[in-house]
Amino acid sequence: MKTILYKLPLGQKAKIEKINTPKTIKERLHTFGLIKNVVIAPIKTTPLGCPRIYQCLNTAIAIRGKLAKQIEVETK
Amino acid sequence: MKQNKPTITVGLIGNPNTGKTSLLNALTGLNLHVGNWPGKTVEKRQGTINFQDRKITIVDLPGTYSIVPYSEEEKISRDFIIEANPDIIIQIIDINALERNLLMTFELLAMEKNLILAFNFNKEAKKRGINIDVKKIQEVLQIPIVLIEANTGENKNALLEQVITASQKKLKTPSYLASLLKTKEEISHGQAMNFIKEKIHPFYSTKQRKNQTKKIDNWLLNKYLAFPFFILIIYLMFKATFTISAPLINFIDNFFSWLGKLVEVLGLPAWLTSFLAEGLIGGVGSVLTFVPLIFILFLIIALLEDTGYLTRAVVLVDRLFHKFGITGRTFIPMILGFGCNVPAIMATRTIRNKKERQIAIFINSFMSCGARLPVYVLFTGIFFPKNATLVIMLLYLTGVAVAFVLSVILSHLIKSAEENALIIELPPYRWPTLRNTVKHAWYQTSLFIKKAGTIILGAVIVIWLLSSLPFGVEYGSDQSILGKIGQIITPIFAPLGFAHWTFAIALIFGLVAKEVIIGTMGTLYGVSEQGLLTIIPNYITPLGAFSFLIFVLLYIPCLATVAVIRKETGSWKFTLAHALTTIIIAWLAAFVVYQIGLMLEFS
Repeated sequence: MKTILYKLPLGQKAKIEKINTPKTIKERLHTFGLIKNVVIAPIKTTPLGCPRIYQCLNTAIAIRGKLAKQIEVETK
Repeated sequence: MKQNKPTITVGLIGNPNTGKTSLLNALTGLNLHVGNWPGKTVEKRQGTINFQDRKITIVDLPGTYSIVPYSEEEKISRDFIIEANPDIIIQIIDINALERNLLMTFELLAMEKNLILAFNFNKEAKKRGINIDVKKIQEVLQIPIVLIEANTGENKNALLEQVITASQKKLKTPSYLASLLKTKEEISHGQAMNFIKEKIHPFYSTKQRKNQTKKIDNWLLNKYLAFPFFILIIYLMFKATFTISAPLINFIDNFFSWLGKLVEVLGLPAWLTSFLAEGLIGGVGSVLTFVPLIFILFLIIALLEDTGYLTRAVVLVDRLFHKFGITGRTFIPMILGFGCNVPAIMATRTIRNKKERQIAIFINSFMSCGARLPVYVLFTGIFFPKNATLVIMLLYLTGVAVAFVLSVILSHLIKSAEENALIIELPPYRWPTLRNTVKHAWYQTSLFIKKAGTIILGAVIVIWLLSSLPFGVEYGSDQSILGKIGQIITPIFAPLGFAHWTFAIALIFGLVAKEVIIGTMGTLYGVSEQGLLTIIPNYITPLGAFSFLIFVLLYIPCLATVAVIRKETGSWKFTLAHALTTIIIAWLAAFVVYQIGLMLEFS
């Protein structure tokens, strides 16, 4: 099922489909391993609700909701 | 004979949190030198060691996730590699996040560099349930791999042996690289990831066991407990800093008083005695007095950083900070600012977005640095002995409040088309090593000492001259050039409640460094610090004193900060705008405090 990273419930794994951010940020995300077909899962919400923490390639990465809304993912 | 073999230059590079600093320390030991990259504001750290019969120079390259020049920061890393042109590059890799780390490996290969991979955190990886066949991976990558433990220095000799071996081989680009390239120099991340999946995954798998980091985060990032923990940790940080450093500060203070007296009995010419005792020892000495406070604060911050907590703090406060137009990353420079604004402003380099970084630099001086504390202590001791701690806390909070208000204003004023995003890795919690923490803290403290040794020394000489000329006047009296200047600007301060000319001069001296204010007043009134306790109340009311402290808190922190702002922003316009703004804010705030106080009949 297609959705966006922002809506993915905690613990749910999904494959990154498409990153709709401006180029510089997209490439920055790439260097953190957020690349098409890589599996990602939200693992924790911070107390103020944003940013959320995601697990990706064995690394925990925090990104804000605004950015997570621009990342399309596909769940099994 | 063998001595004539050329030195091998090795560049050390790695993603943040891979143990690069530990490896650097393990390899170079005490031979580490810090200098500036030519024309750049970033320090170059390097050390030369003798290994077997060769000299090896290890150059530390900035920790980065990528060297492809998407952004200014990565461009710097790339330029470093080109400029320093090392014979060999060691990439340190956190084996727990091998795949992500390998992305940069491919980028380095695309630069046609002779590469060695140092796989770190092997023991931790085993505990986390990571299965790896290093031999096979080495075959696939066609790059030498050495397994190390950076913290303990395990296998560092094997790594150095590999450096020598590799330096004797001709550079051979691995055959698979061409298939990963998008352009001649740039790799395609998508293809790189496919390559990793196909070729590396068969020899690398992770069985996620329940790990320690998640358990700790369940507490420290807990919905209800995160902020109480956060406040407690910050509180303990300050409490410990002040408690531990107090006796050391006293000790150094006494030492310089003693040194000053010693100079006075040496029987040198009067002008020289005055220069040494009042100028040099008074000025530079009073700055050095704060070394313990700054060192201990930086030590505790380094501990928090090395454990991984500071990044959590950044993530915790990000939403709040974002509302004020700044990024959560501003948090780290802000708390460093409570020690000394100079390294704090240098720490804003981790903020990629130019606008966000400019704001972070601009507001940093409102974080009340260690040098301002003695002025608070003296004045609150005289005027508010019962509520001294409360008044001092109020001052610190006022500084923070001004910083936030200013952030909001600046975020509207500074125009930027650049996208801002927070993308931050939360490293696993790790035990800090004493050696790294101390080195880290000492490095930042040394920046502060350097400031005392260079810019403050220069300023001290100028101010000493202004206070001594024309010849024959009493040092720092109302007849000296400085005294005259003081009298001219005094009316400016009258509506703020400190109308006596000595305060104006003290504030000018305070430009050198805030703690110099006390020494200045001592000189001007011709009394010791003890004498000030009885004499100051003759010239100022408690309300005026509070207004004076507000002014001291907010105006230009010191010349060294001005210099570092110029250096970091590369703009005199920005630097001058900052200096003027701080003076205007200081004046307005002190004015409001004093006038409202008068209306409420507080004086």
